[in-house]
Amino acid sequence: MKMSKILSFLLAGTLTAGMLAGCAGKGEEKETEKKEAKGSYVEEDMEIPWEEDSEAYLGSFLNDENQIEIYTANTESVQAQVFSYRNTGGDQWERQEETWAEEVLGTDSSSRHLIRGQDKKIYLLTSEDRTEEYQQALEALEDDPEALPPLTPMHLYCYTPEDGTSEIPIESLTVEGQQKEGDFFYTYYLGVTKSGDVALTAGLDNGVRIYDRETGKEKYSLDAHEIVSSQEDGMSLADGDNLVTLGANGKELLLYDTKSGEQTGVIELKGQDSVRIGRLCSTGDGTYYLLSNQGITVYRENGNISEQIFDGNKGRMVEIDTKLTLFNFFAGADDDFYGIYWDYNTGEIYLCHYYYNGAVNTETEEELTVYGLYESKTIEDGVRAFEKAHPEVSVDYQYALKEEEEGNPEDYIDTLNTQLLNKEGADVLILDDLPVDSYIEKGILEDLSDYRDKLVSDGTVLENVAEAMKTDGKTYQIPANVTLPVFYGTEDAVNRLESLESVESYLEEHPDGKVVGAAAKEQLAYLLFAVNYTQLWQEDGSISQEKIARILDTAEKLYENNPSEDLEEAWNQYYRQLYSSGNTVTPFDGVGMDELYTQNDIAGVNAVTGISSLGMMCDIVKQQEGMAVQDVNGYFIPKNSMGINASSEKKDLAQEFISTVLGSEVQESDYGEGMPVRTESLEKQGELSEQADGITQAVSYADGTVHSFGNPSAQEVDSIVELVKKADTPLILDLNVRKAFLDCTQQYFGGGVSAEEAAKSMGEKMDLYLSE
Amino acid sequence: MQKKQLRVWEKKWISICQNKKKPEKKGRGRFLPWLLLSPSLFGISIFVLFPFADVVRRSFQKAVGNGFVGLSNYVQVVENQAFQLAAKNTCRFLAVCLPLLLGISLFFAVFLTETFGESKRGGILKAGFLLPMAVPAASVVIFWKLMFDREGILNQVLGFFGIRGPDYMNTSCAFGVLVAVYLWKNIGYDMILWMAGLLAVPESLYEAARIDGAGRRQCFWYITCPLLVPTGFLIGILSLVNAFKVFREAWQIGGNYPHDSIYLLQNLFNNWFLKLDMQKMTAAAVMLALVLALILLFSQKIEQKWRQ
Repeated sequence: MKMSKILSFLLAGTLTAGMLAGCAGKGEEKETEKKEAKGSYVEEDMEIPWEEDSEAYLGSFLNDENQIEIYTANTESVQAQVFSYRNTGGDQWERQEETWAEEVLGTDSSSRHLIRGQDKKIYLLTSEDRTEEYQQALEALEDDPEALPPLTPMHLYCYTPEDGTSEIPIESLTVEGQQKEGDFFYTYYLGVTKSGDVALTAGLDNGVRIYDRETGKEKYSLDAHEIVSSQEDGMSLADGDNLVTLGANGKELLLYDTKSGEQTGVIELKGQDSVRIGRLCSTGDGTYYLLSNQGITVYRENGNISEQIFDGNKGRMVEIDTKLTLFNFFAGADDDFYGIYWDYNTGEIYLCHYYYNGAVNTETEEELTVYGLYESKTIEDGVRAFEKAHPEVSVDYQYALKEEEEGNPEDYIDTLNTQLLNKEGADVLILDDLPVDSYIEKGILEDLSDYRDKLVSDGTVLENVAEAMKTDGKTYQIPANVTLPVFYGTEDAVNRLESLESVESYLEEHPDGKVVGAAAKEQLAYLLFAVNYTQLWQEDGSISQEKIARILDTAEKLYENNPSEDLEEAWNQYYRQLYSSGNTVTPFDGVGMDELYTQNDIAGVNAVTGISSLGMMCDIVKQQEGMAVQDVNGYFIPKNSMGINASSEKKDLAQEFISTVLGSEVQESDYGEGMPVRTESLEKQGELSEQADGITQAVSYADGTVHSFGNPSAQEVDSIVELVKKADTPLILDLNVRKAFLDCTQQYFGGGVSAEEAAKSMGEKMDLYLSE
Repeated sequence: MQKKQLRVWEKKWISICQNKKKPEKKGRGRFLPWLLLSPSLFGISIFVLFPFADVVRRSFQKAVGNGFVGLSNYVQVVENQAFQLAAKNTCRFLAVCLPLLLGISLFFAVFLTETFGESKRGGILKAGFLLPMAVPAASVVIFWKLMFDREGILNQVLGFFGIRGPDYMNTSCAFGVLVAVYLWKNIGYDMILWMAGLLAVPESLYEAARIDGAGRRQCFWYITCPLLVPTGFLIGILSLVNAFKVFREAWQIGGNYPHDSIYLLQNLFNNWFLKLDMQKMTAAAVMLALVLALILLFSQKIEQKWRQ
């Protein structure tokens, strides 16, 4: 008995102690743990010593005097003009004309690669693609988008000031050699080992081939990664007589001995997502540095430890995937590094110096939190720009679902609401698909009316957008981008799609008539639903079941007149989920466009999310007579709507963050998330489109058709910009309404249920939703 | 005569079952139980009582902030059409499910006890009945969806006979599906509880009754049933509480806005939380707690009365 009593006391005591220990705060502990940490790598922009308008980058390296040496070519002269720039300290550069390279290039060739080999000699790989014959052959191919560019001889030259220039005969660079590789030949990587052998990745083969310097014959072919870009591949590196290259899985570096062709080691790329685009450099002591969009990471040969020495979010590299091309990355002489980036939207080149700064305080003074349901490149860019402008503040940007990731947003709203109720939660809320009306009603969102007035009065933000985003005369959210839904085609074709009634009357008159390009049934219904969204709601606030039923019937007829099983399958397998739980696609995406190249009696549908989304549409409008682009009922779809948490203690900082996102640096980047809302940046879109003139997009279809087109002209972009400026109705399809409608379409098109029954089911759900 | 004898045994048995109060000890004896209970009481206070008190407080306030609004939240909730529908559906669900669950589980309990007693085969069957409780709700729902989908197994089978079944999940049949899921999942648990009650009935009572000429049916009605009433109350209360947990299945079947017939109070609460309608949610929660408390008190009273 006594024993059981002691046991009871012990159990009760343990339970109490456990509970108290579990609930005990750890604040003090954290306080003591917090140490002042100083010193870290920093990124510093260096001035580019040449005129970007007239000279183009060729190559760069660290020379024997440990100076950065950059080569450029005059883009305006017919006879090649090559210059080298040597950095003599700070912003001081010495310019020198490189006649040896000019002689080699002449008037017929252009440079493919300019490198400094491991043997300390300079190598220039040229392509004879400026000859008249080649240019004529290229012009002849313009009418045939499927044709590949013709093969042309390439040459590899070696240069030293002492020995002058000599050609290295690589067998696969001759036209005969290229023909052996296939119909298409392009070089991606050039490296030269310490013993002078040449490493080359070219043609359709992903491997790195080692060629004998003397004979030009292939010695070995080393397995490597897949080439994913037409740009120079930076994921292979000649280091002494070794070659380091990214493995096929993108998760490890493979080390080869180029003398024997044997693989000598593997370095696991810990702490990296699968790397495809980046650059390697080495310091010659078995240490490799990888620059990717995640930052700069150090790996050791035969080592298992990796260390990130520079966080990608704090540097330009975070934009590698979205708007920057990494031209080069190499080590300096003082544990420092240089990165050269090219912004393919603006044509600007950035030379960044990464060096260790012992005085930098790695502990930031403040932290700003940003939360949204969906990943956003625009916001990520905003975070980078803000942290750069405010080194004392770190931004913790969190999102629930990655781009195109499937998931239920409501699960995350639950968590967010719990935080907001406790007067916590992020300082800045990205409000896409969040219950904004409830947040406004409950006082969760800060009134940004004064801030909005300031932004509008100084012309920062489009007035039509700011005005349309008001709720009860006040502003609680400001979108970072807007997507503009448009119809294009002949006037008659576009008018047919204007309303449900117009589509119905056309189909009555032309029972087999096509109205739009091919799409899945549910997608067509969703398009009609969005186009007629404002007319679907009745005076009592309920949704018109009759109109929903008509939409379903009409969508079915549209599909019957232009069926596509492939699109139907794609919708069922992939797109439906994207449409219901993300913000990457709109109802105006995914409706067939290619048919408009051959048919001018149907209307095209497009969601304008940036210059890159205009190419095909503008190409069609240009080719087909009488076609024009028109807005859809003055709609715009707000994207990345930013609001401030009313409970935030950092409201000024939060406002500063919003200003950064609305700043020209972020707004002028095309992430495909929408057109800028910044007036100045929007008006600059035409200019930006023309600056990126060389970019060509190609779309291929299952039947073998290929359409290729460049960026639209400034005039074409300006006409779209005018439509954005006039758009005055935000089309915000509530998450629940969207889901209910997509369920309803699934129910109807799945069979067994009439359009009226499916519409009734949706109507009941909507009634329930509204009555709550 | 026979009836009178049975009544006497019944009373004897009840008196054995009832806990007779022992004389209270003074001083340390009275304090000791509270001391031993204090950790769990502390936990319950922190995690249940205080939060509930906060819920009651919030039910008289605005959604955000501390503005006192009196009973207006309650009025708003009672007048809310979605609440009316959800309350009606929840009552209907309880009214249909509880008797069915208690009846069917009792039937299986008696059947298993009578047929297999304590044999191995009986043990396997008991485990079989309990299996649905071990299966995760998500996989259970996937199975039921496969079964009751418009193109599901049931409609495929009906198709063989030329019958086109309805879209169960999007018609009023959804209610039947939910009831079936609830019964399938909970029958095993209730059956085990009934069996525990059945095993507690002394065999001597049945022997004596049989000597006096009572048949199987009479034994069941006059010995088993009365003696199972306390167990029945307990199972009833547990099933009532479990019935409120059926939301997980309802939500997985139909999402936030399922068919009208299976739109339960928990769906409504969840949607209110998504919209941060805390004032409505807390008022409805207090009302629900009051109704449940009344049901429990009422059942207790009936049980006490029956015992007396």
